[in-house]
Amino acid sequence: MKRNRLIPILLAAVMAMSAVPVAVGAAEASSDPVVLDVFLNHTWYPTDKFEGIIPETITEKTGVKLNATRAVDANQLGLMMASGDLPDIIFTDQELSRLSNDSLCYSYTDLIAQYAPEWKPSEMAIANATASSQDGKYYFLYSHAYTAEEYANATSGFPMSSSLLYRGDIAEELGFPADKLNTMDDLDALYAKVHETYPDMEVLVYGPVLNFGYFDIQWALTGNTSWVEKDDGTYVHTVASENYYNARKKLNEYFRLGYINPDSFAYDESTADGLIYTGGSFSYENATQGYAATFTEMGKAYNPDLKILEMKPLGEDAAYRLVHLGWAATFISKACKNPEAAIKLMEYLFSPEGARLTMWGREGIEYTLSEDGAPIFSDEWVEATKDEALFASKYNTNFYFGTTGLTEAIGRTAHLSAEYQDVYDLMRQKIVAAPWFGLAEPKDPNSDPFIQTEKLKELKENFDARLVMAESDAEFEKIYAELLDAARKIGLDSLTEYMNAEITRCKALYE
Amino acid sequence: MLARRNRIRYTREDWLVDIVVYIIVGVVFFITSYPFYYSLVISLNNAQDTARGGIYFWPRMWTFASYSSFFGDATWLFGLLVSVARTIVGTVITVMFTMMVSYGLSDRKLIFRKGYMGLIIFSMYFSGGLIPYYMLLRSIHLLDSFLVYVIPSALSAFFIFIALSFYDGIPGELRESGMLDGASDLVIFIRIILPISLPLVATIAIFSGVGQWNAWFDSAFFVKNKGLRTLGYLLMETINQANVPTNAQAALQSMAGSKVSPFSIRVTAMMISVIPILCIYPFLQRYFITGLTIGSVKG
Repeated sequence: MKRNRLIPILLAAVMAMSAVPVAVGAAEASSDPVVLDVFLNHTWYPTDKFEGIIPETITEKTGVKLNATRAVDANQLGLMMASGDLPDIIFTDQELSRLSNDSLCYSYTDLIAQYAPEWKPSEMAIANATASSQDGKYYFLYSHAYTAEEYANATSGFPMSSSLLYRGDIAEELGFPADKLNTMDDLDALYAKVHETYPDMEVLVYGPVLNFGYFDIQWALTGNTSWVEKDDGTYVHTVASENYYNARKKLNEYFRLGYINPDSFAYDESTADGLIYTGGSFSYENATQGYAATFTEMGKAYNPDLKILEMKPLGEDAAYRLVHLGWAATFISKACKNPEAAIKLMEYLFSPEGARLTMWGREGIEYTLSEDGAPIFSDEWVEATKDEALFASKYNTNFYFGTTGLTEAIGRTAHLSAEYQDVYDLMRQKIVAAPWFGLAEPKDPNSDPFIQTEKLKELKENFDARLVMAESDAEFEKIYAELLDAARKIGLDSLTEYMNAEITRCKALYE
Repeated sequence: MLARRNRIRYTREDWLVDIVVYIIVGVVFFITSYPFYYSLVISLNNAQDTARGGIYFWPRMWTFASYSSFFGDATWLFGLLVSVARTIVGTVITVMFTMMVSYGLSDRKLIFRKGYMGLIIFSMYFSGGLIPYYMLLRSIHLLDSFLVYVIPSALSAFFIFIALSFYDGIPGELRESGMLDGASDLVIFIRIILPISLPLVATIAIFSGVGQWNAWFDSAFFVKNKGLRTLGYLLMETINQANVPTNAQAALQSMAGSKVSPFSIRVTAMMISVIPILCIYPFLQRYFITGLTIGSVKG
């Protein structure tokens, strides 16, 4: 008898669960603003809710509300493209070439001409995006784009970049305040003193995410391109450059002096983070934009005097090379239920007002502009930044589809104290904008140059730790020779020839 | 008398062997259970404090922050509900289908039996791939529906072969006696075969139930409705958010200052997904062991 009742109950439960999508769909259809489905192709994305002061203001300004779905697997977008089941909008930093296709997405070229003729993106922004398509149209505009002039004229802010975080309190105690640290020799002397005074402390910890980025920057290298310009105007791959050799040689010297713990190459981010603010390490490869200040706050629980600072650029050839074209792209798919609303949303998000709103909140409420154009945030905003969950739910700065690199950078650093701002001022002086490197990067995943580029990146990663941990000069030379040999087998020479032509061609476009 | 005899027989060598066995069992128990215990301890300790190291057997700074980051909003409760529903409904359907189909296939007089078996074996070794599978689900309107969790998994070739091995061990006389009494095939199956198949039911139920409980892939690829997200999907989503890639420059900031760390999130996710299984397993283990050995002895 009991068994007889169970089956109808289960069937009823199944029917009830099946009815859920119908009910939700009906509710969405009756809402006033245009609701567009957006797929956020970033599994790490901090939100999938279009809620909070900033999204609500975007809806007020544009009449568009977004129903966001965040990826949980890297293959989801591929499946959508192959099956033709694309959502209205796709926000992604992957598959740009495949999505720049008339059969899958509307081109911005056509939509702007039809629905937003007033919107005039810069020629450079159009050229950068058009490089990903085959038909001469552009299907997106890069978010977080920048120009050299913007940074040259900026009075604050610095883009997200590798940075060397160090214990400022210990450095001062040992006689190395920030103003006494001006060259790599000063850093060598500081490390030696730290190692002598605190033998149990790890002097330099490898960054699980950003590797040895700060030291690369001191030799004018960057992770965003594998190419370095030589004095004669030709281009050489990172692994074959003197810059790379010298940067790894310096790190190897630190390793052999006992400053780098070999185990640190296996640390995950939590472990490496924890060491710096709990007293286990002296310096740590991390990032700009406020990490040092955040770790200082976190470390106060263990040591009230703890102060983590960012190291200023010390290398003679130090250069923060901005070579990328931007970061991600927002595509409007052919399945979009309202392409007019979608392109007008993008027009607003790419406008100065929209870009600021997404990163700084509402002008006059969350911020006011100082004389030099930098935002002065309200106390409420600054207080909220101390609680990540509160800040995200209250303001939600995550729908930054059209913001610029500088707008973001200023928003993230404007509330920091002078000791961080001063370092960013010095860093800004070392910015070298060269987007032609990004434009020249091979974009067709099936082409030989693309495959060779990826293989060489992997090869470099595999050899990085070996070079740093070489036990002697002879071993270092042997490993470096092995690296070059392996790189040539992958096709370093033909790739160098190809990239020299490509970079020269792209550079000419900017001139 | 029996007890006395046993005492007399318990020699020094027996004691020695017992001690050695207990030590080995203890060591094995510790090695296998400690990672779970350690994960539980870490998940209950302050993530920032964990970074200092030195925590092995007891949390130093108790916190439920990692757990509250999971269960902080109603999405998780919905996810839990959906996972419980799919586990119950999916397991019942899978067990029902597997038992009935394999019982039918176990009858050697079944017409086209070899053909059916061929189809099942073929489906076990070959699949159309993700995209054709997605298009199939779309064409039969299973996308974005709760049914996509329970219908495609209703029948598994692996379970059918386990069940066929079991039915091979049931004497044909049982069925014949039912037929002599005038029972139909369905009555024979429900009244005679099913009651003696509990080890098989438990085996398939536990395999299927664990699979349903942990499933996230179908929720990610075949369902857009947030009200139908499973617990496994939400756990995967949370773990993903703790893994910020290097090229996501704008997002690196989101990790700074977090009260939880990627490591604490991972261990917490592991505990949340494992604890319900750990609770159910001991009760089904008796049947499970019997079920696994089904068909292992012939003759």
